[in-house]
Amino acid sequence: MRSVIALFMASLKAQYEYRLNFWLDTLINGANLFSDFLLMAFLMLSFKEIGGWSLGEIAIIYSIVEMGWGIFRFFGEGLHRFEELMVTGRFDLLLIRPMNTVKQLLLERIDFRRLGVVVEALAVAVFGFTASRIDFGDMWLAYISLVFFSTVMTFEINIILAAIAFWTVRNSDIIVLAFYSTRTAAMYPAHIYGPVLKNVLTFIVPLASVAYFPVGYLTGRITSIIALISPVLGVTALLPVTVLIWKLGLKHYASTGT
Amino acid sequence: MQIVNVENLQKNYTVYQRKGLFREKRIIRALQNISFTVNRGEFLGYIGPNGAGKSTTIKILTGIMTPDGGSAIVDGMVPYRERKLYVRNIGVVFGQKTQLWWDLPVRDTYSLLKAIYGVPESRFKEQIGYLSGHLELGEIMDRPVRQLSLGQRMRAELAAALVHDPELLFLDEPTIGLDIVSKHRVLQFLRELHSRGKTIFLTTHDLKDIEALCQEILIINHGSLVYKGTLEGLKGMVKLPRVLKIQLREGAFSLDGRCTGFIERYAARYDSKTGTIDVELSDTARPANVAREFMQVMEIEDFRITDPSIEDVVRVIYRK
Repeated sequence: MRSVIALFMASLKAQYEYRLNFWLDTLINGANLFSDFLLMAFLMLSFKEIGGWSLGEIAIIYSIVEMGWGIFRFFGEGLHRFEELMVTGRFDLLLIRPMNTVKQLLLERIDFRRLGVVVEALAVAVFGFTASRIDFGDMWLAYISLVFFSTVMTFEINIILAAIAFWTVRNSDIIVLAFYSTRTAAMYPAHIYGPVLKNVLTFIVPLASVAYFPVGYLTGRITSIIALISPVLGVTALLPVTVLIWKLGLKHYASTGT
Repeated sequence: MQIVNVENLQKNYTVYQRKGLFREKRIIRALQNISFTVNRGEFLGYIGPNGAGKSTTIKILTGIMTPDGGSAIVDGMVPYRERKLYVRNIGVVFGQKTQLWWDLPVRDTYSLLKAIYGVPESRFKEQIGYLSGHLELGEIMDRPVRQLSLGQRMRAELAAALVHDPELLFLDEPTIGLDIVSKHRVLQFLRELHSRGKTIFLTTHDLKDIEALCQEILIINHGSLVYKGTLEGLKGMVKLPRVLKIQLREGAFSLDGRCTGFIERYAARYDSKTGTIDVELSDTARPANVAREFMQVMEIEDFRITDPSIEDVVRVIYRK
């Protein structure tokens, strides 16, 4: 635990080394997010609904997916840039430390600017709850649980995608295709898409299971009880896959060294 | 007492070469049945030309890579099976890759490593004091790593590998690119570590480093072990002649037919630009007689006899 805290503090200190850049980045990041938020708000005000879902409800799914991503990027910068370690061979240096490799990656480069994403996502959630006249007092526990599942799933997906670099060395295009595009798609009600994309979001990159399905159940738009427990199903199903692929990747790395 | 025991180590790499539309699979045998042992407290120099399999051996011994065949037992453990436990007692320096936190002061890297290895505060203080004294880290302790010169960085790097005071050290080209002064400091420190009983496994291309430090050397070429033993033993293995180097007097560089005939008879090499003649001395030749004969026919400024350098010896071995 001491080593975790030490690495965490080192990340903070390293970023603070470039003070001006740190604050400028934070500012620009904030402005960026705010413009995203404005665009979202503008869309919400111009449309009345998407696929029968009110804009407030959509804001809630958007917020759950977005916050999971924000929390992931807070810890996941090292994982996100995993291909750099493969290209430069610096992954070797993680292997000569008496510590789990994933743990080292998560603590390698904590990105404090991503806290802005969390704040933005929270603001969208407040808007969503207000607009759809859902009492936040009744729902906050459900919301927090869904954010938790969304975060865990984002980690799982990104560990799997990072592990692909054990074989391919470069993986940034795969990340964009398999995560960023599905993440954006999962911010809207999944039934508006064709069956292929809907199935991808449900079974392959199951981000719909942490936002669309449970929120749909809670707002009464989906009746099946499976929709409510789908976050647990999705996260649990991905866990062994994540562990297995990472382990296979490590094994492959150990046998090829590339 | 043995600390490293390597038996029949094998490693193959599969590479794909593009041939027109198709890929052709090719197996590269990086290590072919390598066996050797290292005793506790030994200072071992590990050399070989590029691509000979040095890095592969180091990667296997540091637990980064698994071999395809054979076994490696180091400090009673199999490095690639018990990685997390095993690495606690080794220190590794990769001259080409930094393990320091780039944006943080040098001191912070040491604190982080202290936390990672769980070094108690009192031992940490003592160890940092020791390292700082021998590697002269005082002036760079509070500077961010990115601002250090190569020599300073390499000293900081060595200290980083020793924060947890390991018994066994793997140093992969720790002197690469260093100037004479920095290099001297590093070598001096390695000698000090060795005198404290550490086992050191040093890879380098600089044979002078090896000559200065190592009692034992290990030579690998094309994935096979070529030699393991002392430096003197190596010189005995490859018999290279001593060379008589003659410098002609200025203005007497142009040689007549008699002189060139004389040079041919000795199979000597003559450089007419610098006026130097190299005569290889056979085992039976008596250097004084040869020198006297040359002196009688030419105007000589200076002459000396050189022993084959370790570079010459190793060059012969690499060519095999």
